[in-house]
Amino acid sequence: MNSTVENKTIKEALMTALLFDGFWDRWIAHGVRKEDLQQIRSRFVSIDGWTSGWTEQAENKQREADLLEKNGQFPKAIEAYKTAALYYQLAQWIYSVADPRKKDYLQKSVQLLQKADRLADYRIQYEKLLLGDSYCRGRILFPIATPLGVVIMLNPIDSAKEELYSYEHDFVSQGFVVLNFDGPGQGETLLFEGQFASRANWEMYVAALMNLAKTQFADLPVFVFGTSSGAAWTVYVSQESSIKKAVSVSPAFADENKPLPPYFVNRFKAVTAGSNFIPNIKEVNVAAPVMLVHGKQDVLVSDENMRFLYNQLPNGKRWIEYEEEGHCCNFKLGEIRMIASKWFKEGDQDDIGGI
Amino acid sequence: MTLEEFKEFIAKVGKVPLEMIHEDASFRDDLNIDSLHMVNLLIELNNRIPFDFAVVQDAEVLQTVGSLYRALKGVKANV
Repeated sequence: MNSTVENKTIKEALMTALLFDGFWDRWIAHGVRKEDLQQIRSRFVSIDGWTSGWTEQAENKQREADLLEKNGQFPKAIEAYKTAALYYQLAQWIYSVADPRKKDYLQKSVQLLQKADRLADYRIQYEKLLLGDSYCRGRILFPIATPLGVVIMLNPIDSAKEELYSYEHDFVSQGFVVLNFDGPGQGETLLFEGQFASRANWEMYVAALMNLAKTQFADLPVFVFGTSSGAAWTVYVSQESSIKKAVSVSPAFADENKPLPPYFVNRFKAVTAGSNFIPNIKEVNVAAPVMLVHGKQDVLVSDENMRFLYNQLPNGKRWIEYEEEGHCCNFKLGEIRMIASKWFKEGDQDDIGGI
Repeated sequence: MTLEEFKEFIAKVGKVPLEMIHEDASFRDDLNIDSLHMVNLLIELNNRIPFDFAVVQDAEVLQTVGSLYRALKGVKANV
């Protein structure tokens, strides 16, 4: 992307963040405190206002976390470190891929999440997955008790793994080993390994994740959970007979013709190097039982495409629809992860009804 | 940009019939322009006549065609 397009994209993203409340649904669902946002939102009239706002909030949270840790209040310290990590995610999010500040803030976010990791009850291992001549960086979380299975998280292209700490926490707390990686075009894998997203890269990435799950956790059933573009790849990977069950929330369709926010189109192009990255999930021969989750107010995924996909799925499928939710069902995600965990724990069933 | 040119611009970008656009028309209630469409409209507008984002921060400014036009012209609404 040339600098004129980059500046235009940043300007459009700022205006959307400043004026459109829906922009914040994702971030609030992922842990942004509304009061912290309100304190600084009026400053998002410029990139400097955005950056200073979020880094100040991150520093405040980090100081709070340090103090809580010092006082032995570990659960609260963990939450504060994670929130600080999320605020640095926001600080880096606005910048273009080529801007060195993006790397700096991402690194701060990674370091703060690792501070939270040190205090967690469960073990977290940092892993690199070989993909071609570089790596995908990730986190593997191990539950305290004997694991019930492995959950592979496939994340939306615009999210780094650190943003989704609540997802990994929910699954590991429910007794699953969790694989949470940055795929090509995401987070550390994009910025530190130089891997851009393409369909071919993601085919290799999901295959490598499957291989990791099968070799390192050979005795455990493998489940997949994905949202948005990650949900499309969740459906794609469900061709594999070794997948026990999969949950796909608001999967992106390659042929969807709903208009995307202008800034999003350019951000998408920047990390996919202009290539077509979304798999055509209407043509995938799915083998595993899939739970499809749809928000009726989704402005990016149509009812028609979701129904078409549902009708293609094999026995054991589930359908959940939320009347008031939009793309990714942001405000029901905690509930969806609990429903998914419960479903993963159940035995094989041939139920084709909805929930 | 005159008020007439402004109305034509909104009609084109917002895909709204020109005859529906008058000074007191509410973006949301009369022109069916929701908040995301409003952002897109403002982005297009900003590309045509660059303005400081702070100008459109006040929700009152984004109520009607006239209130947005006056804000962009730097003229306070007659209240």
